[in-house]
Amino acid sequence: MATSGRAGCPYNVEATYAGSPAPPGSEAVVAELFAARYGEMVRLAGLLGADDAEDVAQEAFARLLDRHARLHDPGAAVGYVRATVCNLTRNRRRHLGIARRSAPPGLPEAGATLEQAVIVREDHGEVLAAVAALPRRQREAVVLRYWLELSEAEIAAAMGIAAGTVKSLVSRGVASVGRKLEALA
Amino acid sequence: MNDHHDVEERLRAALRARAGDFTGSPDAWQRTLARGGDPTTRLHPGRSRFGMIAPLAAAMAVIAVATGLLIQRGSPPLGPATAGDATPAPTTSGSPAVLPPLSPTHGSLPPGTHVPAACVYATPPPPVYKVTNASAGSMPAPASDWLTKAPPATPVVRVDVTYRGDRAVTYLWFTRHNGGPLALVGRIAFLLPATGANLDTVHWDGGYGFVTAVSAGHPLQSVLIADNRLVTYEVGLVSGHVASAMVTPFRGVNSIDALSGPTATVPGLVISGHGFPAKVSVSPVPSTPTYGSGRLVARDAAGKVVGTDYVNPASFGDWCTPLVVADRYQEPGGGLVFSTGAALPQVASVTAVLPDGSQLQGGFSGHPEWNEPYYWGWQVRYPLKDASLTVTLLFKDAAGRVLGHFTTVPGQNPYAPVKR
Repeated sequence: MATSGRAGCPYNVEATYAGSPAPPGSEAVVAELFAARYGEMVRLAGLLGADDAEDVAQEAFARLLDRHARLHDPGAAVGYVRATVCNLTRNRRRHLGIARRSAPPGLPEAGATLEQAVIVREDHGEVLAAVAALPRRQREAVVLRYWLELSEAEIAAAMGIAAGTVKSLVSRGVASVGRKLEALA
Repeated sequence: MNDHHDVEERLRAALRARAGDFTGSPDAWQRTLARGGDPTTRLHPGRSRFGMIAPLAAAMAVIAVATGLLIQRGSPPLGPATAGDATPAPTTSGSPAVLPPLSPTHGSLPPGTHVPAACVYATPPPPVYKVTNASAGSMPAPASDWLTKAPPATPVVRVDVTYRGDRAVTYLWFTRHNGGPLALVGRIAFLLPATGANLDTVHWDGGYGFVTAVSAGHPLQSVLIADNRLVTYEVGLVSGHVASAMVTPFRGVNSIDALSGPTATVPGLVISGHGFPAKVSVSPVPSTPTYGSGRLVARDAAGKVVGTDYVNPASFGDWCTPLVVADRYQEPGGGLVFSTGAALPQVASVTAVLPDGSQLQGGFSGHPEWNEPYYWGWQVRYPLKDASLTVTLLFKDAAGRVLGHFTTVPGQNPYAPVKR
């Protein structure tokens, strides 16, 4: 049955609270989290290729505001926001109809100068391009591992995959990046 | 040789450096608080709720988790259909051939749900290409910005692609950044039937290269040419037919096909001449209800495959069934997993039926906050040694009624073994 599987989701939601308004104080709690983590979430969305990283991060926190009271474990809020950023970024890219499997993560946004792009290219472009060429799941796992330094369990929660799969994705991703860099050397 | 540790450190440094380019605005919290209403439409307020279905289903391909997965290899074959079955259950032979085809009439669909009558598996006519040289004056208004930021070092070529009723216009040229290597520049616009020509609705992507920007909301991208490297742009189209277009600079390649779906092979266009220093290909990728199943296959003059690359056409439009198999990958433990989103609230279980009649029960998973009510990720896993088997995936509602099925045929449908 679907419901039994759903119960295994990383952030359990108390069904009886569904639809209930956020209690007083929730906004303050989320505001504190926002102050501490907003920049991180913007950067995560950017690295995962969001076309408007701030929009994604704000939406993720807005959803947390809506549902903070229903999170079974308030301590899971950071993971929830992180997972929402991952998911919104994916959805956003699908909506735009762009599948940036080959695109460097966090491409310079509109308005960035050519000089900025050149700087990126000179310093880290080869690595970023290699990361961008990874299959989507590997790319996400690599960004979460080597930028956010998340554990396998945290990455699994953010991506909504099994923890055992994370290790494989990261390992394959690093190996693939290594091969590409070696080919360029 | 890059050792593992060195690669890891370079990854950390590059990602850290790039992350620093993303900053938050001072009024971000106020803007977050100002967001209200239906969270499912906030990001795209102009879209209907159903408009979220395709992207969400595609996204579900990556959020299925192993939690709840239950393998019941060797369990009894499916029995007779229960009372009220919408469609008959399979026989004990497990042969997919005895199953009824998936029908778009799966009972009560969510209000507003549109299920196309025709399935995308019909092979469409090949695309029609038209290549012309473009003068600056004939280009759309934003072109002055494009050409200023990426001055052409070659003529500008316009490619019109017509495919399954949709049109795309691509402008291609090569530029040289600050005296650096030549880079391919492409600018693609889709002409949506519903809205007419609108070059302001460009969706733009590119890869394996470096990006500059030409104007707000319209990133211009360029790709460095690399010897014998198959490099692709992928540009999706939120429309009913053409899903993606690619621009591929390469050497040593004579033709290129886009493959997607069980039968569709779409010949790409190889462009040479026009003062271009390398051949360039453009091709649409047929839309498919699956995600990640598209491939580009490049061949040399002798027809030998010299390179392939995966492409991920977005699954907008052409939604022949609300039950979608969107991904297949190998698990570290040797299992082979199919996963996707289920687009119907009625879908409550998924079962893989192997040719010997044995069944593998899949599980549903996902985050309630991640999905529309109609979407739940599911996956079913079977041993890797069975990777070459034809497997029939059955979808049932909570009462056990078969809502539909999908048959995987390795090598003949999108589920040919994919290494990830």
